Amino acid sequence: MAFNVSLPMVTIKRNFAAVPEKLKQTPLYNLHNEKRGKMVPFAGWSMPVHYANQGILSEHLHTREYASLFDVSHMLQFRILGKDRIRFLESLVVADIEEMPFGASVLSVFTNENGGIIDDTVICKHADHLYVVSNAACADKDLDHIRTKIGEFQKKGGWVDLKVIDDRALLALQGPLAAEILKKLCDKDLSDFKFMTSRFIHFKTIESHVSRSGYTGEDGFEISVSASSSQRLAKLILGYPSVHLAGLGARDSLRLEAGLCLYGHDLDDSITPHLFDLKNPLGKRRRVEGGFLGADRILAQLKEGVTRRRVGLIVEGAPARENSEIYNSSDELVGKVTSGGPSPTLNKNIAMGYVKSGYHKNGTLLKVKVRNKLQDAKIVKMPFVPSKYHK
Amino acid sequence: LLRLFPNLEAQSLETNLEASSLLGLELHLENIVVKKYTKEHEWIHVEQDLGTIGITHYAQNALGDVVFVEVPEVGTVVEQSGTCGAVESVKAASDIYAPVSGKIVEVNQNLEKSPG
Repeated sequence: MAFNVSLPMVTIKRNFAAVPEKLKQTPLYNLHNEKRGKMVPFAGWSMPVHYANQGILSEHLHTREYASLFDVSHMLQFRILGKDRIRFLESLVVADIEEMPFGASVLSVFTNENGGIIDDTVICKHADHLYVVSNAACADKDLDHIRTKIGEFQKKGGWVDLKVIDDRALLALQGPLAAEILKKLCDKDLSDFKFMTSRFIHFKTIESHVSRSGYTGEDGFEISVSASSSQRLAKLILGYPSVHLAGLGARDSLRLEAGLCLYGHDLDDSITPHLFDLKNPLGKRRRVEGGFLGADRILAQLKEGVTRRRVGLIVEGAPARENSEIYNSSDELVGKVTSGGPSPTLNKNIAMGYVKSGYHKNGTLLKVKVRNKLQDAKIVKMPFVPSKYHK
Repeated sequence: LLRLFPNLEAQSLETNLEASSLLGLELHLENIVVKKYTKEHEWIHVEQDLGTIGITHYAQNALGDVVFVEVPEVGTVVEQSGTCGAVESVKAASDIYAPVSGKIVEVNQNLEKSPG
C-alpha cells in the first residue's frame, strides 16, 4: 500500500530513522499525549489528528450528537490597536467593521491587490481593539502582509499597531450540548449569547474571551484562555462525561459537511470573495466605497459575474478527493474538486469544488474521476448537513 | 490463484513488523502454512496454489477508520507489485499491491458492504 495522504503536510512515515521536524507545541500538548492523541505535524505544529481509542468517525459523530473539545491553539490570534484601527483593517478585508456593534464578529477574508484571497479570518470588534483569528498555515504570510501594510499606513500618519497573542490557548467546544456545559461551568445564563458575538467570561476564576462561533456547523464556542490556565480549563470541560476530545481529522470532516472552506484547498489567492460565495461578503457601503486591496477587480466581478462557482456534490462510489476532475454528461472537463471525503453524518461521500458557471445549479448531474474511473455525482446545496447556529 | 481478504486477522508475528519484509511461519496440525509480508504492508498466506491476501494490523492502525474498500473483480489477473484494489480511510486512499502474480478467484464481499 502506498500511504497517499491528502491532509496537507502530513506524511505517515514507516521509516523510523527519518529526522523529526522541530514542531511547535500548543499549551495542551501534554494533555493530548496523556489522552493518546495521534500527533501529526500540521503547519509547523504537533497536533492530534484523532485520539487512539476514538478515531475520526467517532469524534465527528460525537460532535454532532453531544459535544467535542478541540485544541485550535495553533491558529493565529492577534489584536489590532490604535485609534485608526478600523479604517486600517477595512483596507485589508472586505468586511464592514465600522457598522458592527461592539461584541460582534464577522467571517471575512484578507485580499491582495488582484482581489485574490490571502486568508480567511474571523474578526471580533471590541470597544478598544479588534481581536482577529486566522489560519495557522497562513500565520507567517498574514503577519508579513499586515505588518507591511501597517508600515505604509503609519507613514501616511495613521495610528495603528498589531500585537500577536502568543500566550493564550484557543479551545473550541462544539456540539448541541456545548451551551449547557458552559452554562454549568460559569453559572450564567447564555441564552442571550448570540451566534457570532463574543464576551468575557470567568470559568471558576479562569478568565476567558469567549466567542459563540466555530467551524463545525454546530452551536459552539471558541474560548481564548491564558496558556497557563488552559489545561485546567480543558480538564474542567472534559469533567463532563458527554464531552470528548476531538482532533483535526474530525474538524475537517465536520467543516466539510457544514460547507465551510479550508484555505489552501477551497480558497487560495486565485479565488476572489465573490467566487467562493461568502454570504454577504460585501456590504453595501463597502461595495460603493471600495477601499480594500483588489477592490477594482472584485467590484468589477460583482457587475460582470463569475466564470466558475463553488458547489457541493454527492458522489457515488469511492470518495472523490481534492483535485479529482469533474466532467459533464458529454465527458467534457468542467471543474475540479477542492475538498472531498466521506460524510459520517449522511453516510455518503461528499465533495466541494468549482465548476464552470452554468453547471452549478442544484440537481445538475455530473461525473467525477476517481482512480481513472468516472463516477456519478450530483450538485446539492450546501451545507450538506443543516447548521444549528444559536441565532 | 489469489483470494482477497484484507480484513482477516493477522497473527501476533506482525506486532514486530518493520519496514522490510518478514517471513512469518505458522504451524498447523496437518501442514506447514507459509505467510509472507511485503514492504508495502500486505501479507499473503499460501496453501498449495491458493493465496489469501490481506493488509497488516500495522497498516490498519495507521489508516484508522476504514470507510471504503475497492476490490478487483473476480477473474482479474494481477501482476506482482501491480495495484489490486485500494483501502480508504477518512483522510486518504491507499493502493493495495499484489504480493505475487495470479488471478483473483474470490473476494470478501463484506469489504464493500461494511468496510469498517
